[in-house]
Amino acid sequence: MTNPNTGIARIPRARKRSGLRKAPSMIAGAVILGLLVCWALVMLLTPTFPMNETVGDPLLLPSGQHPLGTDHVGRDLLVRMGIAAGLSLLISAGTAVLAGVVGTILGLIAGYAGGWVDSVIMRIVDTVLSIPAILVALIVGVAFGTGPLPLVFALGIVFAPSFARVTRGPVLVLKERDFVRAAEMNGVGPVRIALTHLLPNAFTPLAINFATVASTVVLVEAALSYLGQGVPAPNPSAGRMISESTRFMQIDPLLVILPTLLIVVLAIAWNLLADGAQEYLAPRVDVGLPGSRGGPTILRKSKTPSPAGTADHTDSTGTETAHKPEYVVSTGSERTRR
Amino acid sequence: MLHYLIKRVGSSLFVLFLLSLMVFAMVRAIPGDPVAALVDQNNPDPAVIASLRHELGLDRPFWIQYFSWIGGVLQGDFGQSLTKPYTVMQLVAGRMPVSIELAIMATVIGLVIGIPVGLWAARRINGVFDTSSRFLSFAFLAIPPFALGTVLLLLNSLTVRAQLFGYVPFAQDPVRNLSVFLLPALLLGVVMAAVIMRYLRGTLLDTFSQDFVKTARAKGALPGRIITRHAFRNALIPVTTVVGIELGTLVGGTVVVETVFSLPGFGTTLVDAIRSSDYPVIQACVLLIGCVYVLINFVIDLMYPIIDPRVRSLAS
Repeated sequence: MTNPNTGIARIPRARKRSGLRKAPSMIAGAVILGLLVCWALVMLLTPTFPMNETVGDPLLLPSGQHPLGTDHVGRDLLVRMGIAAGLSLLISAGTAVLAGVVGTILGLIAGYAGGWVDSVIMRIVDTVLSIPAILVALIVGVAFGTGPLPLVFALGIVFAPSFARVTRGPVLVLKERDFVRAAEMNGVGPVRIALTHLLPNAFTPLAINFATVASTVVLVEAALSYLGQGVPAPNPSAGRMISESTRFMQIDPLLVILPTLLIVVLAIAWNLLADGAQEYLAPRVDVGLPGSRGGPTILRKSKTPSPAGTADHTDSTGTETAHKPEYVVSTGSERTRR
Repeated sequence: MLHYLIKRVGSSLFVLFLLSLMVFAMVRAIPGDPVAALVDQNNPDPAVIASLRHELGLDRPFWIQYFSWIGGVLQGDFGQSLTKPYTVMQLVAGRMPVSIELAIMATVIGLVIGIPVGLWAARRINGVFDTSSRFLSFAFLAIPPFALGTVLLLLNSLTVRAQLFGYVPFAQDPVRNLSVFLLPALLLGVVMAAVIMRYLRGTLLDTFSQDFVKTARAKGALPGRIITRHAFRNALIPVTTVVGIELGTLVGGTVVVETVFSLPGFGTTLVDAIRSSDYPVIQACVLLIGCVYVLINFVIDLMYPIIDPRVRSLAS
């Protein structure tokens, strides 16, 4: 991009580092998830109290001995919430991985093969998409028993279609590109093309979808536990804690509020990761309506050259300024830069 | 245009066929013999069990059971419930209006809140309204509706003490009906509004960078006019898709909210049926939900040529 004052082209430097600075949400999401993992591991390996046994009076408020209080049976909440967080995290990540693997393979095949293979796979994908996730998980749960593993399996199948769709789109475009054609002409097999040429270039939407699916699974798993499926009693699960504690809400509202907060924090962490991944991998400069605050201004005399303002923006408006020395097209964000 | 229509109808029907097959097989995979639940638990007479199975047709091969079921479905006969003395049609028909009303109210609330907020957020991008509404939508998408519903019910019982339970049909007592549906529809609607707002904002920003918007602005059009007359229609297609998907999800996903607010809806019927292995009811309900989803998507697909003339010419 060209510096509007001197007309000298600047080589974008250390883009990766500035990229990370632009994605604080990814760091925030990763930090929150990391903290939850630590909490879960500590509670699993060195618990202050056993997680499924009565260790004190029921419905105690937070105190020194029980930092989060006890539930309606007298079990320590700190330990139970930590394990519940870990289980939720495991289920959401596991589901996203399974759905990602299955869905990506289907999407690659459908996109690259095309033709009737594509049609059949996409119709199957549409069919699975038309059944709500909760129902499939309920049915599979009744069929194969409750527990983390059947749940991951069921939800993985349910969310695989979204990965298939997300992969198929870029693959359809990529397979017409020259480098893929060149590889085909060189006799590279379809599997190798798919894995080494197509997949890495379709990575961005996949990564974003991974985190989005994980955050959805957190909520679905909570709803299933609320209904009684999902992680079986007496093992802790946020959703079931809410449904069990509803009748004690007026005495000790913390019993409902704390598991709710846990679910919210977990879902927000995955969402932050998804948003951050999008900012980092596919950054976009949100330009508003031309002329309004935050939008590009057309035909405006540039008041402050502000090279610092244009430093971060590798957008095309930088090149336009080189051609019009008197009137400058500047992005509105320059003006509003504090 | 006709060709487009025929293609869409054909693929919808194929999806429905696959769905019915999938549902039928899935339901058969559930363990728990419904017949065993119908006979005397202490003295299960094998002969009685066998004759009951034969009577209910559960001893026939898979494909024969499937085709006889499908034949009935196409004539409107969904069979008899295995655990309750009603036909499936009677069970479902009574519950459907509740879920449908909930879904429609939630969608209306979602559109009424989501579209204006999305428009204003894009209009004044990165302003206070934009940042705060993005933050709120983030929060609402992360809070599980059943938890929020439980907390709100608690608050209601401590403060306002409004009468929020006891469903009555709309025709009988409109005010009472609406007051019962208000809170659950609001919960689901706010989540939908968050989704709509995010998508609308994103697609509007994409259209703002296009040349026709620059042209309109250079010609002196006011920003508000540009948004409503030019940008909005272009941003409408992805938003319509999302609304269709969310509506379809809502029909099947009202289960938990219905449980929290004790609404006699479709979702609670389905959960009961799954728990008692009532095959015909589960099959019918899941098939109906799938049909609604496919129908909604089909209608959305038909709306594309109407909204966007470019698709119209592509389709014909």
